[in-house]
Amino acid sequence: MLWLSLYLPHLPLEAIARTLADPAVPLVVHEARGARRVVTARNRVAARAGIQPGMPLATAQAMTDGLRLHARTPQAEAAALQGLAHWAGQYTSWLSLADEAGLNLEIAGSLKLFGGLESLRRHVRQGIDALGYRCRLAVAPTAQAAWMFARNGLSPVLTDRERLREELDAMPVDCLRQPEAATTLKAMGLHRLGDCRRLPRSGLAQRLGPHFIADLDRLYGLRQEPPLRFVAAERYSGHLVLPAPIDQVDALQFPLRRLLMELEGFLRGRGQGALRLGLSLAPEDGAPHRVTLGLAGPTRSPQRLLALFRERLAREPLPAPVERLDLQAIETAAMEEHSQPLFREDTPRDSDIGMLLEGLFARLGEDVVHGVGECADHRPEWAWHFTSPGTAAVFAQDSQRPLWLLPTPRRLAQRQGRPALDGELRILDGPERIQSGWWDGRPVRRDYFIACTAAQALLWIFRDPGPPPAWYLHGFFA
Amino acid sequence: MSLEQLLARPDIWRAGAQTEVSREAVVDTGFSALDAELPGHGWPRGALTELLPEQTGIGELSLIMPALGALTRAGHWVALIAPPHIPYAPALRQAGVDLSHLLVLTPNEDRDACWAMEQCLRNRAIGAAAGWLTPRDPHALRRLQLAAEAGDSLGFLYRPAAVMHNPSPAALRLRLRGVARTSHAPHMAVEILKRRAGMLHTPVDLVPRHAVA
Repeated sequence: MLWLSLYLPHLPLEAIARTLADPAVPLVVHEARGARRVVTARNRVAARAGIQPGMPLATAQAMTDGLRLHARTPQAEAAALQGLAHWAGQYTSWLSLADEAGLNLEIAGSLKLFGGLESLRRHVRQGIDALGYRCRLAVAPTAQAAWMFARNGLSPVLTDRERLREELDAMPVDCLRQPEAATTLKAMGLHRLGDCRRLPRSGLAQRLGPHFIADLDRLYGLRQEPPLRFVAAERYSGHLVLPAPIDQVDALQFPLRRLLMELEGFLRGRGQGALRLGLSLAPEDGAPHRVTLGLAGPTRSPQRLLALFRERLAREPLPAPVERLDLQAIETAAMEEHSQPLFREDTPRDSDIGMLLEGLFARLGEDVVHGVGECADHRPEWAWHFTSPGTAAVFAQDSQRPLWLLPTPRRLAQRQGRPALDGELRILDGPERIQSGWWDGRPVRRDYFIACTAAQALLWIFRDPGPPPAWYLHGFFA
Repeated sequence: MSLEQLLARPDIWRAGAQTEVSREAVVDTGFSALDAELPGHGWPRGALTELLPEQTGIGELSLIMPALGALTRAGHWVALIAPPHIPYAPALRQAGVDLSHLLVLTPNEDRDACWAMEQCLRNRAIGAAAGWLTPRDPHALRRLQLAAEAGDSLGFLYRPAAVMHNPSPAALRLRLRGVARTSHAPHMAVEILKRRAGMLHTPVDLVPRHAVA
């Protein structure tokens, strides 16, 4: 086994700030410590102003004008980590959430697919970066060791036990983050993990308890105990809470892009693409604004989906400033796997009717984009229907039919029992008797004619025998 | 832009240059009398054609049906954008259209209709797009012409005959009128208002295919 651990040292900040497109605003995340509030994390602009973690919030506020304050939100951090775990599903089916702000991925089986360890690490790093996080990556044969290195700010790439043992031996005992145990060990004159490993185990167990020995064995891989698997959701569902409400569609793209990238990782891990996505834009209070995006074929490219959502959202103004985005994969389908996932699939091609339909669906809505088909019904108004594009049924029926049909027949004036429209109509052909529909309560008994107006327009008209008899216009031979 | 490129643009025509349009750049109209008068002998590809009927029901849609049918049967898609009435499936099939390659768009606003027609014309899967638009923006027609060029598609724009005196970037403009003939079926007079090869003053007399014999 080979494990890649990633640690997100700035998660408390990033869980909030990664949805903000503008990095120029000084921002701090704060939390309660005892009776006062202190700075947990700050962004680069705030750091340049001299604000340090651990500083009382009041001091930080006095140092910078326009400082944005956000209380630390463990829920947002947990949700961010969950989203990251879904995204990381593209690298392995075996991953676990670390004890804090990190993930462990078993990558031995994915190396070939991603073109080797170096290429995989680069891919992970770029992905994490695009999602708005900074991370430490460490690779080691045991999950516990990889995580320990990453958590301590180290990024070794250790692929064999020998190297692992050497590197571990050299680590100070503080790296275990067990302060009491470290104090005891140092008092015994043991400063490095190697010193502990070389001691008789029984003596060490007596002083520090069996748990300590077990922890040490897991690090070195003497005891195989892979971490608990993260169980991903059946369907992708991710959300982002925005630190500042957004009222412009354009400004929504930045946070939406983050969610779409998570979705991409999730779907790639399953060899799938989205067919239908739901996006819910919730205001601070009130009903969320929901939009659905239908895709012509399975798609997961964030660029493509973002462009389509932009079209879709441009259709109507946002009813209220948005505070929370929820993205859901409503329907997915298998998508052709590329052996090289670094290759960007589904880049738009002009020649693709699917691309056109997606764009039209997104901007105009599905009730605007149709195909037409025929139905096996003799009544003219029931002999056609809208279909979804590309799926048209035909029903052979060879009497003369007009290219334009009126949705409802229009009553014609009569002169001495003869139909008239802008003057008397000249009958050219007919009658064609159409009698049908007694079975569904909309019976039709009509005699259809082709008639010509004084201005040489050709009409499709019919006579309803009544009583009383009446003439109707039903179509144009356009 | 070189002179050759400039002259190759479908919205720029040179008087008397009729023979220069190649056969590949057109699609048969299906009416030999009309083909004979059109540069290249067919509907121009990669260009906008404006059709200005004086009223509904004179065969104005039948005029383009042979071309639309041939395109769909050859695997190209055809889009009808914002049609004023229901495009009637049985009649479309009778006119030779493969309904599985037909797209009907019914947007509520003219702005959306113009946008949709532009998207269709640009897409290479689309052979032809016919729109019933009333663009208010003077640049809209120009954009449609450019979209048709980009997609090498046939753009048909139906507008009321009243706009015939307004300038238009369309490569071809036809005015359509119903005419009485002594025979049973009415004819349609197709008057070429603008074409790439100069003016034609005699209308072409057609019997659109649907018409009763």
